[in-house]
Amino acid sequence: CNEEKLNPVNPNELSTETFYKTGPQYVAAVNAAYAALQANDLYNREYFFIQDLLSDDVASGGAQLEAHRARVLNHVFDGSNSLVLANWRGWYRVIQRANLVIANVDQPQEDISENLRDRVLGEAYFLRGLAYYELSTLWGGVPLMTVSATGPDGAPRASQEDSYQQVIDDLTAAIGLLPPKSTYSGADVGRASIGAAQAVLAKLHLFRGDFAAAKPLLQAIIDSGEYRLVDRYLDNFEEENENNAESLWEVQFSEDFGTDGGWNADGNGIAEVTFRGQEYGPTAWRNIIPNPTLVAEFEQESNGAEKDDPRYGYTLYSLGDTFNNGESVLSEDNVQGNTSVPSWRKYQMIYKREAENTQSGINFRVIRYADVLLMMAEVENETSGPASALPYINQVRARADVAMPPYPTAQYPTGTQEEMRRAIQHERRVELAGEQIRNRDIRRWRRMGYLENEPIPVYSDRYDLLPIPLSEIDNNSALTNEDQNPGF
Amino acid sequence: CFSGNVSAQDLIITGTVRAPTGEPLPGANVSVRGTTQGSITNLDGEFSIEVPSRESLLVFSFIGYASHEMKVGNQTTINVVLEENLSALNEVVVVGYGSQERAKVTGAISSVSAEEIRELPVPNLASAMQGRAANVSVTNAGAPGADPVVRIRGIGTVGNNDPLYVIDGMPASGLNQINPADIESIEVLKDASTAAIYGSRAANGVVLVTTKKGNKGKPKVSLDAYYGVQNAWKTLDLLNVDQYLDFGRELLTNSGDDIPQRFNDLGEFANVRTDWQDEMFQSAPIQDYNVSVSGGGESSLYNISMGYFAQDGIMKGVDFERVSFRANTQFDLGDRVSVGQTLTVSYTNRNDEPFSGGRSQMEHMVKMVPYIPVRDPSRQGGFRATDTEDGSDPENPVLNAALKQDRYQDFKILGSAYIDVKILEGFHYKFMTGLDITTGQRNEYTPMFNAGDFMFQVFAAISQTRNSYVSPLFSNQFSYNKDFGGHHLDLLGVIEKQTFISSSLTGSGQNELTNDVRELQGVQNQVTTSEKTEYGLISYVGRVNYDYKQRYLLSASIRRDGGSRFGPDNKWGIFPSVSAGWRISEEGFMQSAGAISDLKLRASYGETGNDRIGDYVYQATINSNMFYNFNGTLAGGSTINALANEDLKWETTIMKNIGLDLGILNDQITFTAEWFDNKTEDMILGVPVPPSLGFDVAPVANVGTVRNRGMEFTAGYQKKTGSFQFGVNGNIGFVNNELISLGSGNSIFGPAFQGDPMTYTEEGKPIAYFYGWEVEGIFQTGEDTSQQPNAQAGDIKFKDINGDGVIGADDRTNLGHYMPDFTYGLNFNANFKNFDLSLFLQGVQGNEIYSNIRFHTEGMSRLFNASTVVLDRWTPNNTQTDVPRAVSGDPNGNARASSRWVEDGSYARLKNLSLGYTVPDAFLQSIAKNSISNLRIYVSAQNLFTITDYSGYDPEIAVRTEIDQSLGMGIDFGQFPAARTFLGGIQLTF
Repeated sequence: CNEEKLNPVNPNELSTETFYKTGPQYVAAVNAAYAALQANDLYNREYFFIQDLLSDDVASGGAQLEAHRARVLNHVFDGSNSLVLANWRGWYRVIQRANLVIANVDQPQEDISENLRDRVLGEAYFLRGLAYYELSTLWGGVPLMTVSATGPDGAPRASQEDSYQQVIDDLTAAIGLLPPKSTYSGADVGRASIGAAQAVLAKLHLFRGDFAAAKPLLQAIIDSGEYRLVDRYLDNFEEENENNAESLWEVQFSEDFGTDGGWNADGNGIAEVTFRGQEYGPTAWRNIIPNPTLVAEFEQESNGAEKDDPRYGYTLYSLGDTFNNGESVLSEDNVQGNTSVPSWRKYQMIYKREAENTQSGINFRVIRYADVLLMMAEVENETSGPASALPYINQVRARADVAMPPYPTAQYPTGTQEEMRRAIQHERRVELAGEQIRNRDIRRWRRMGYLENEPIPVYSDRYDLLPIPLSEIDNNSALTNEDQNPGF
Repeated sequence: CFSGNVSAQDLIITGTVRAPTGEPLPGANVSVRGTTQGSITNLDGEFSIEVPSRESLLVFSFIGYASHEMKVGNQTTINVVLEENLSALNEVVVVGYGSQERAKVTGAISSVSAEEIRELPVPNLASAMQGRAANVSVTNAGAPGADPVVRIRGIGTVGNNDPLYVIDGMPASGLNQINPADIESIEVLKDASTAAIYGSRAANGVVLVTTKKGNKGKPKVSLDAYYGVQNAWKTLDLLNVDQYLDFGRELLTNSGDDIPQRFNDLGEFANVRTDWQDEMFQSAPIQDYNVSVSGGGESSLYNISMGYFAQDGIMKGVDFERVSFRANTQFDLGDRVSVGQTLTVSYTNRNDEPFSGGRSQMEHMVKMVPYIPVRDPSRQGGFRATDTEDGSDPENPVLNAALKQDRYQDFKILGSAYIDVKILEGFHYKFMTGLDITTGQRNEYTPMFNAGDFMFQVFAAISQTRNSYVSPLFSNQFSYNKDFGGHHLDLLGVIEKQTFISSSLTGSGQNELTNDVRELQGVQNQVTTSEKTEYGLISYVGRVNYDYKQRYLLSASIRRDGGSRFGPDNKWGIFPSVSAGWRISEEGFMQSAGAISDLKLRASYGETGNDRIGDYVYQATINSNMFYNFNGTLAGGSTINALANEDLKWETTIMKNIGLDLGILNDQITFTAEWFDNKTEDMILGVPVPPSLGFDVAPVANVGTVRNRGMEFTAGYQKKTGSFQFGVNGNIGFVNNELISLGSGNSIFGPAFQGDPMTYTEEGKPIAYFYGWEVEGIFQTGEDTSQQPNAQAGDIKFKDINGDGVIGADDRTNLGHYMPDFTYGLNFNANFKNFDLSLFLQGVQGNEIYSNIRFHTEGMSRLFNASTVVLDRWTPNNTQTDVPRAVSGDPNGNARASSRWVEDGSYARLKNLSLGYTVPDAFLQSIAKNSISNLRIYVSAQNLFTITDYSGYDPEIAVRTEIDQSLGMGIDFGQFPAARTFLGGIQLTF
């Protein structure tokens, strides 16, 4: 018999031995890491859920909120929670794909310039650094996978410090390799740039309370001249003005490539849409609504402010607002559930269409310049005092279509460091509402003792760190239940 | 027979051999005792034979009849009537690459006959085995056209446990496409001595299927038809509208949630009362028609048949039909050469249960809100579901059934042809080629509709898949048999090659303009993907069978398989077996024990393999099916998303078997006992990896050892004389499954629900036992709840297994297992004059079911309809109950994986009861003038009653779509339930 049949070549996939040899193949390797961001586990769905449900930005839209999500909102969850697992798994998928890029850096020999090689490597370091930033700030010390696994055994938990250090190392490497955002054009727009890496690293330092370390990074972003606030606030949350001058980095979505990817997207296949509109939309499932405390946070003449904050209307939909290019009006009839609270407008698709569905193409703005300015204000306040913070925070308020009176105001004096903290907390809450930033803000301010009151009534200490997912402990031979975070 | 020197003394005797019915027996042997002289009867049962003297003894024999001896004496014409032989020992059973007399079998084989298959109308051949053979566990899927789960002697691996099916010598697929009416016999090879000859594919047992070949004689035309009606035999008690509203208010009030707006004013739904079970269940027809013509001449046999089978589901939206054609022929070309072929051509058409959001239709049915109407002409699509003001988002299952199509149409050609050449006396060469081809298409279609806020689709979704499967087999078989002085020797050598090539092409798109076009025309977002896989297997087989005076039996076989699925250093595997038998009843000292007609002891040992893993899994490959849109441009991504394992090799099962056969009173009473011990080594396992490795596909490795040990018994009694004849036989099988080791030290979690794995697999326990917390009771007001910080009065108190004062992951424990302690079948049939009655009881005992459907009806974790069990929920005024309080969001995890959902799954079921009447010959003659030779009419009932304590729809739980067949068995997600069927049929022979 002819035994050639016994050594088949898989006609569907490439061999690892022949891959990573050319520039385009190397770029494809890092593209796969980007694709992992679009998974259901992350920015397609579960990322905005876990960040929002852990924060005081949102409240339950009603009984339709699934039990495992409601448990996170009510802070009664543990390591078996599938939302917790999804985010954990999603970030490690990014890490695995980035690890392959980093490990194979010397392989490509054809069709590749040194600039391209550096850039792709820098992108991989950025994505891995971002993933460890997410993991180490929410779970504490985590298993550090820095090379692609070759067997089924997992890594032990590293310390909190070592996990932070991994973020610092990765992002520092990325900063050394990535080009400025302005060098990207055409089909490269949306890739990570030096500014994005600097901003995420600054966020980590801020989270650790290391303001001095954050300062030069933020300063470099501001000094780069690459970024400015866009005049129209909502340009940051609609489909038409993506990757604009205010944006440091976005996760890209698009409706142009079909509906695949709504349910069960795992970063495989063409999956370019997000559930966001459908989940939060006032006329859609409205699983989550703005928290009444957030609604009350906006400055209004009725609560003693000089001016109604226009961001209220940019962020929230109220009954009587028009949508669908002005053709439809929100009413008791078409808004679902509790109509005494407004609905989310940021990131909703109905500004230009009649109804939400499971395919939204609006990019997820992970870092924008307003956040950078507010971080800089906070750094200045903590290191040099409130006067140095003032120009940065007021720059955010001075956006053309916001034009709120500059601090200090009657409601928010900024004479002392403490007063400025209050103003910064207020400004971050309203400027960045519904952008999945609040959760980590509360966490770091809580740890630093900067919170006046505990904003989450159901919070208890054991939720300072999230539980390691049970399936990680169960399947990772280097972990036991002893490794679980306290209280779980 | 010619003799060169015919002497004057030579005598020619002629005559006829007939059956007790008077029918002539063609092909019967007539021989002269002590000589080599012999003859065979012709089509009319006539023979002619030369005998040496008037003292000669003539021996008449025919398979299935007792042989008969007669002295020639003065007769020149001898007419004999052969009595039917009650003993099964002379039966020929099909074994791998041949056949063997039952008496000489040294292994464990269970047979299912054509009569048994036809007695119980079944849609497919696997269902025909249920309850018929000890330790052949068949779990039917209730949905028409769905494959049953077949497990022979337990579960040998956490991987694929399906047996190998060999149809007329051809390892084949697509069992639903074989018409059970075409089957002559099914043989289940359970131990190494019988199965190891199939080497790397035999570890899960082998099922040999033989199709009908025709008998010598004039053409016989038969017509078989039945028609029946199937119904659900059980429904659940669900909440009515008022109960639902009360329940919902309490559920949401307890969690501090708002009451849905609609609760305050049902408005347009004020008078709607929908019974969703009534809407979904239906009386469903089942029908089967077969016509065949068979017969044969001196040197030919033929059997040609055509069948049509159709079955609707007892839940709407599911149906199956099959049209099949078969032609089998066999020709003798002179003394040395024979050729033959088998051919099935079939078409099947199946509409599958729509499966949206990972939920079964039954789950939607029990959760659907009772005040929502089924239909609403004002809505696009014509159906209604909930809106956000209802606070609940179940799907309308009737909509799913009516609008969502998932249709499979498959065409199959399965055939084989052989030529057998007698090279020398006893030495044959047989070349066989087989071909298994399936081409199919799957059409998925969902139109635009809008039934409510949670149930709408803004475009028509169209997806079509074309697939093809081609598997050719080429087999060269050499056999030699020789008798010498009481010794008998059979030798077999085989070289063969089989390949399996699958490919598929899928296209999908969306039509936003119309629901009327169901093809991919004018659609947006077109996506096309294709895939191809190939598997090759090369095999060398050898076997020796030896016996001395049919008293001492020895058999040995060896197979060497080379397969493409395994790593470069492990392509080849060797699978040997040896067995021996001692027919004690043939010993001289037993001749005095007249009552014992048969007594045989046998033992076997051997190794078999399991190759059921995907193709190419040992290779490290790059998956390039990832995309990311940079600035509106789609960019391709490539990565490794599975760990590879170059060292992957065959899974090996070491099988030991000891058997005893006993026949008493000329085999009126028969008894068989088997003991077996199967140990699977190098079990192929998708090794669970921690999520932190970042892989989406579990790597496959050889880890772990599994042992299945057990006993099985089969007994029968039959009485075949007089006008009242009856037979009763039964079988029972016990299996004990244990995972002895799991190499890597990892344990394996089964399918998860709401974050909790429902099964767990670890060393020292059976594979995939139910896993979770144990319920201890309900917290009463004022009770200490410190072990469960989120608990309040009315919540479930779980057992603190590790005694650390806190309920955590370590408190999960073994809650039971889906494998029964034993399975059994009991068959009784009787004939009285022209009436026949058969009764078939089948059951399993000692298994548990994880009732996920009860999570939906009693879990109370979100607002959905529920079972009336929740009316007994804990409230401050109803504290003596085991149903916890209703609280949306379920903060305490009352509905977590726990003993609350695990129930006894034992059942005994009257699988079939049928009563037939055969129209008397005399009457037939008078009305049909010989045109009809036999006419039987019958009525039959399936699943007439089921004795079980299981609370769900049906205790026979096959595995759900998308759930792992080895780790997710016994979990009732709301699988399609078995029906109760009443039918009537007619069997006509011309």
